[in-house]
Amino acid sequence: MLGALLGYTFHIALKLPLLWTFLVVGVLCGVFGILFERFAVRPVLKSRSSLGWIISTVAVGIVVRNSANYFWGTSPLPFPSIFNEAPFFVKGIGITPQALFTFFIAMAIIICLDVFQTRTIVGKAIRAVAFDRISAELVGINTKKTVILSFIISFSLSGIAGMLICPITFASALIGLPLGIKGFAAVALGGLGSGKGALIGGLFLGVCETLASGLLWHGFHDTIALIFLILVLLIKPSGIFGKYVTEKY
Amino acid sequence: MGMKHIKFITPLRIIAIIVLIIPFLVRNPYWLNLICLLIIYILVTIGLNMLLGYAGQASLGHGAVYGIGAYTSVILVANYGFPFLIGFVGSAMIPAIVGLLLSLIAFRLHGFYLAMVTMAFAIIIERVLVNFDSLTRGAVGFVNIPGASFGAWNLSFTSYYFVLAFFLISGTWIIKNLIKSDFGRVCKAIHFNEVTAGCLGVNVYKLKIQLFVISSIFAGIGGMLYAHLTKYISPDTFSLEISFFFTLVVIVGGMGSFWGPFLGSCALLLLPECLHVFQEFKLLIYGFLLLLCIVFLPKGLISLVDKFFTKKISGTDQSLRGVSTGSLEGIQIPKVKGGKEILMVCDISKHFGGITALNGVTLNVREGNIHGLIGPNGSGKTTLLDVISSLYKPDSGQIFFKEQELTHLSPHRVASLGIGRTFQNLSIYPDLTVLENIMLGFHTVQKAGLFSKSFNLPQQRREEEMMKDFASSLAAFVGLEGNLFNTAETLKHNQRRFLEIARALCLKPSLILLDEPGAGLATDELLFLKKLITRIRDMGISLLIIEHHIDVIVDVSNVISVLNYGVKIAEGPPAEIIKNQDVIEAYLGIMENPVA
Amino acid sequence: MLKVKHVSVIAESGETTLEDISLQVEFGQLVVLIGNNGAGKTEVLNVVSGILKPTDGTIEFNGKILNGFQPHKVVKEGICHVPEGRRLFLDQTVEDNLRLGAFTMFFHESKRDIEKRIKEILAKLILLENRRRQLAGTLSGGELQILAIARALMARPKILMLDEPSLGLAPLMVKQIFEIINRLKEEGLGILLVEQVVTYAIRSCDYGYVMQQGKIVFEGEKEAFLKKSDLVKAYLA
Repeated sequence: MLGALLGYTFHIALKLPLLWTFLVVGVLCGVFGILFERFAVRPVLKSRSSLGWIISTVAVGIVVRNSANYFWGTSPLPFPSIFNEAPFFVKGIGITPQALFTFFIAMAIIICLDVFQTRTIVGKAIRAVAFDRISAELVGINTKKTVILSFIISFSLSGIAGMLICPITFASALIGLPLGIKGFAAVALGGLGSGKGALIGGLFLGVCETLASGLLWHGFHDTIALIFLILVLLIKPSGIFGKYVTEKY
Repeated sequence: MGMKHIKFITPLRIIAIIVLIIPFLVRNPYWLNLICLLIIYILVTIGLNMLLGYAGQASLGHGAVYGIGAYTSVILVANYGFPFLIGFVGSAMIPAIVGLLLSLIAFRLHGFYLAMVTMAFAIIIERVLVNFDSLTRGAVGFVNIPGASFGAWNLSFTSYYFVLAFFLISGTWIIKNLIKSDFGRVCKAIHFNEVTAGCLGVNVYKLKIQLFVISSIFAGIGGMLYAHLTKYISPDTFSLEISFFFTLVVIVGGMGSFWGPFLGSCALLLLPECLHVFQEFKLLIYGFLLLLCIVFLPKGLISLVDKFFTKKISGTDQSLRGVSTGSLEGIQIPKVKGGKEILMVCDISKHFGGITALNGVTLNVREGNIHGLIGPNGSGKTTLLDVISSLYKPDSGQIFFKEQELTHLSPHRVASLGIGRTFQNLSIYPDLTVLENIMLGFHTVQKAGLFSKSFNLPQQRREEEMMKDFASSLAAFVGLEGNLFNTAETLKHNQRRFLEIARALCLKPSLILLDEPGAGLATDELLFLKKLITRIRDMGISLLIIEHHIDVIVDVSNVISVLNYGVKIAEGPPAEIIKNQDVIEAYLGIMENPVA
Repeated sequence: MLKVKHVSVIAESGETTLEDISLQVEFGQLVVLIGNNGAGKTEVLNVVSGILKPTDGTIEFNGKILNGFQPHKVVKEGICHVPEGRRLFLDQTVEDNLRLGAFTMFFHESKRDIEKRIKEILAKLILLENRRRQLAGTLSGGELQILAIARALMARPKILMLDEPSLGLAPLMVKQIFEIINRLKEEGLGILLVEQVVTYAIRSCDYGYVMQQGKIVFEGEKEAFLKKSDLVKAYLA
């Protein structure tokens, strides 16, 4: 959400070129990630409160959403596409150039992220810290910095994603929550900890939603996706690709 | 809760009195309305607190159940013209069914995933409410809902207030009774560890159903009361936001604390009212305060209260008396005819992926025997105990206990048949006191049902007293009588080991499985352990013990079986085993064997 | 050399985990730390590697005080800790586990040098050579132990600390592991070894300490241990 709004400010209001906007948005959201980790995540982890993360996330969400409301106002801001608005037709299915562009950029980012995680030493280090934090420290990885890095990456990408989506939906302070929920749902569907899973989960949910909106009652379009989520999780409690860590006791 | 007063004045009665006199003190209708809302929220959250706070089930969908209660009652009254009372019944029953369905989901899912699914449920319900407009009048909702009425008597606002007060006071009383009983203890146990709770005889499935249904009934009734208060409902009153709100109340108030929902509701409802002054910044400040709260008060607002009110528990007794003083006439073990096999493990095999943990293991424990089980790490000893407890189903083979086959039973059934156990990595429940931990063992033998517990009937009171007495003597038996009311967290490692044994004894078992009871104990503690084990056997209980301290196991056992790589390589009296060449090579030490 | 001087650790609960521990490890020396479950042996290693903060006393390595160092800094100083249970990254390959072991070197040495070292270590420890690309989660217990040691070696430590390397391993495997450990000692590495299964440890050590309930109750050279086998048995059995 922040990404979308910041993008609006820099690109439309301040007339910054698109590419630079992406960069700036990425950086600013990354900074937000650092702050979030420092003030909302680390202290809660230390206290070992089992569901405390819900509160801190919700609290920060409220703060950010309302700050955004204050600065940008409540009406949705239009973010024009750099492409021609007119869709072109492939076998009778209309695709807007913006949608195609978004799709390709998203795929590119996902592929880069995957390569980063599996081929670079830093990516491997992040996975190592996630797998076994103490063991990672013992091989010489600075786990504190690594965690901060993962927050930076995650938040930057979210910001950029926000920018990508806002030509299709509008930019406003309110778009965050539904998007966030769908994001969580995609992750849950694909399995926590699997990038592949989140991608497939997201694709699946998106397809479901669109199909349902066209074929079924319009009011239920995102419901179908959620129903699928419930069914899948009931069959495989840790998501499609999730690893079920069997901790006996 | 550490308040000790003259019996007459309990916190509950104070709250009741406050609630009852409020309408006479507060005249401003806006504030009175707010207080009514507060009462309703408290009603919903004390139910949710049992599910989420005590039992740790991450359900984020209670707003939806609340909404279902509201709509059910309104539909029955406004659409079909049923009397108010029928609406009330409906608003309890339909949510109860919904709660039942949700509990089924909680069988399979936990934590993050359960939260996600219950959130999804909440979103779906909101959509249903919007779209089934033939029934629910869609997004517009119901306006001009008739107020509460009993027959011809239409309740005034003040009378309705007292209806709310009635529900709150009785609801609080019921929940308090449940929390103080075995039900509350078991909830805390499954929060910490469902698996070991199952081995103590807790039917986790049944418990989850009860929790979801009870909390849903509270939420549903709350919804109904809300509808007849505000006289207007629409789907967006019952969106995901209210679900989050209820969850926040429980967590911020203090999960698993009885008064948490009261504090949380007051804070989260009344605080924004006070912040009106700040106009647009109201929500911003609210969010900041929330963040500060969770960072500095991770256990919730209740921790502030605890600091002021709780008397310091007078000195934790760090020592183990070293003397087992309790007597245990209470344990009546039905004796199997002497010398017979009480436990028969027949040709059990168990594989995990590519690894064979157990390979055709056959082992018989005779009634009244202490049967030792030794072997290197990874030889399958704990796996064998887990298979006996039914935590795992064997791939082949059978297990018989007193001639009953265990193989297809669930863990809690196995426990209720009379098999107790302890765990290698300890599973004492840190938030329960020593006494409460031990009393968990009673779960399978007690007779008082949920109804009796809810209303604190005489049967429940008698049983609870009896259980307390017996648990206290068990505590003395293992030397913990000085720590009865300390939380188990405060115990040192050696005390925890003995606590687990006391708890296993509380099941009144005929067989106890001990998994490395001596791990981490010093020499004098090991002596005490040996004495304890012998005393237990003298009471007629058979024991199967895994242990690495060779002197302990050799001194107390009648028979020792040795496992290596999932295969039994030797069995016999201790004197033979320590001289057995295979055993020496595999386990005791190669060549330069100090024991020889 | 590594000097632990009068280190004590008192936990938050007031419990004394370690009391006045003093020991030392020289390069090319194998020092053994034995004792029962709960004796505090793992805690000693944790204090040296930085996982646990000492309440009292100092940890000195080649004259430098290591108190309060974060574990990854201790690794940079040249002390590597192979924890109990190996704790490898089971979702990554053998190769990657080794690469991560050299994490501290990545910003000094060239990638080529690191890859070369991986090849060397794999060749030395023959068992792993053909398993470069296998996921660590698929290895057997013995192979995991060897991999854990190899991973620690990638950081070019001067002192290697091993916590119960024989845990859950078949006797034959234990023999092989100790052969490797002895070879490493001969190459000049200082080794601090924690064990419960005493026999092999005592046979290979130069010096040993026996711990009980957080204190050192006995120490001596190898001969002293072999003579006092009864004493040892009393403390352990």
